[in-house]
Amino acid sequence: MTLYRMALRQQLVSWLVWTIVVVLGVATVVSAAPAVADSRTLSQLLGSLPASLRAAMGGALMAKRPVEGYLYVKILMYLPLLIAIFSGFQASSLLAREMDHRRFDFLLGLPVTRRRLLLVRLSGLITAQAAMWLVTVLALILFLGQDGLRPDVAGYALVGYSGFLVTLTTATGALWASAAARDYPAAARYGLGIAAIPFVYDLAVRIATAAPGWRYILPYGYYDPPHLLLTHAFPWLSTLVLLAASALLTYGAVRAFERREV
Amino acid sequence: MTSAIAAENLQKVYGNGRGVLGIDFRIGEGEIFGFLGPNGAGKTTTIRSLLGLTHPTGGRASIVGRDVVRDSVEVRRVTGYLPGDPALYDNMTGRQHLELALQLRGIRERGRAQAIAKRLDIELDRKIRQLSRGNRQKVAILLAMAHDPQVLLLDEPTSGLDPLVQDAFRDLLREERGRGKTIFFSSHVLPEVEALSDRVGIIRDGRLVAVDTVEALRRSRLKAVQLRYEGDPPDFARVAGVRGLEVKNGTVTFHIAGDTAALFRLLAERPPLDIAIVEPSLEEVFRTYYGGGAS
Repeated sequence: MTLYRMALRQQLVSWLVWTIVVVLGVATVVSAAPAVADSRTLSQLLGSLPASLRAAMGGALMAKRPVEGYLYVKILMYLPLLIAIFSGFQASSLLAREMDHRRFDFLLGLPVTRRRLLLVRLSGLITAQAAMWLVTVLALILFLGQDGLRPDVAGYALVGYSGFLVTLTTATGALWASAAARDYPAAARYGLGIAAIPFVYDLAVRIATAAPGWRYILPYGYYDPPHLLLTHAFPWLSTLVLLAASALLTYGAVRAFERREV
Repeated sequence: MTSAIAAENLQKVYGNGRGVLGIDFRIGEGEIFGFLGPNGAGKTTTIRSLLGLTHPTGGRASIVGRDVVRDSVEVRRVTGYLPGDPALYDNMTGRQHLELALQLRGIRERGRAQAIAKRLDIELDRKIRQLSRGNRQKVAILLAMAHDPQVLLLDEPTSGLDPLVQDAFRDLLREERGRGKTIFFSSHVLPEVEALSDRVGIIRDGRLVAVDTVEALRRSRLKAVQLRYEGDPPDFARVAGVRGLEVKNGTVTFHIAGDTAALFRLLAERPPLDIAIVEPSLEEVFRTYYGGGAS
């Protein structure tokens, strides 16, 4: 048993439940995809929407590739939110709940620094998240293939990678909140807020296209499946910005945890 | 004598003004030091401050010469810690806890851990959630001692243990002392501290009100006495060491400390109908010796 395996083990049940729910959601959405491939109803419906709303719903993608457009509107748009909520709750349980239950008395009675303990827990959380994205993207590709649709493997891989960067950022933010929160319920609320509030903000900014630059102050602004699926361009900007943000948030979490009474 | 544990004006004051309000002590190598005090007196806060689990707000402390804040990791490497209410991981076995602890300490040798486990009859292969309170406590004791630490910090170590295991554990601690290990343990049970310690520190309301040898404590130890007489009882006020004398309807109650020979002479002259001599509560000891009301 190592600290890393312990961190993974603590998340196993939640991870399984959450992954099953997400994969079932993907399966349900994909099951209707063949009908969409031959239908113009959705694109007609989208065409009737105001331009800003149409853009926010991936109208350009829908016009060119209806199946991908449909998948974006029905599931891809929300995947980061779902996985960020999972990460938010996990982050709160990996630190704040442990402190509430005084479990760190055992671990911090051992010769291990708080920084190491937090980073190992974060590694476990990142692994769980990455695995969830991987399983979800693989399920999407597999289900599309089974339905006789040719999946855009590279495009979905990029979408998964981009989404992972977003949830990595929200997870590190939630971990900071968890290290600083007064108790577990507060940390869980912060974790949920960090996952959900930026998503709502991003949706609002996407619809109000007047000032698109405002999208990029929060992580969901860097998640753009229509662009990735249409261009297959590697998201360098997202990679740089979100990794830097995650590093800063992790530093904040470490500092908060080091100052914290456990 | 070299100090294995030292505290100089160690403080940990919480927002409500409680906590540890500046305590000083030095504990030598190979000494068992009992830290006695009622619940909420600051015993656990002191131990947690010594380990860096809580950050002192003033003063300093060291373990085997290492500052507990600056060299916290090194301090924990040479220390074994038993928390007051050990919160272990329910879905892990005792053995998994042990493997994790020894792996983090870089220890491959398992012989000592196995010997302690055998001696205390510890069930290592059952999940923590399947264990009783006492068996969890035994696992936590093993985790504190398995790496053969120079210093043991034990917070209410016998809590939840049955009397036989308590005896085995005390024997184990005495052997550790014989091997030059330093043991600092907290308790709110006076006889337990007396039975095990070389010296005793008494903490009350965050202040160390006395540090003394067990022998001195024993000499000054109180007994609560209750006697019942038919008719007027003799005058116990003239017996040396009697305090808090009360007489009501033929029942006499008082505390006595020190030499009890005079009391027994008087009892032989005027035998009571009934007699009860009990250990006073810690609060009674505090009231009698350290003044003020009970905390």
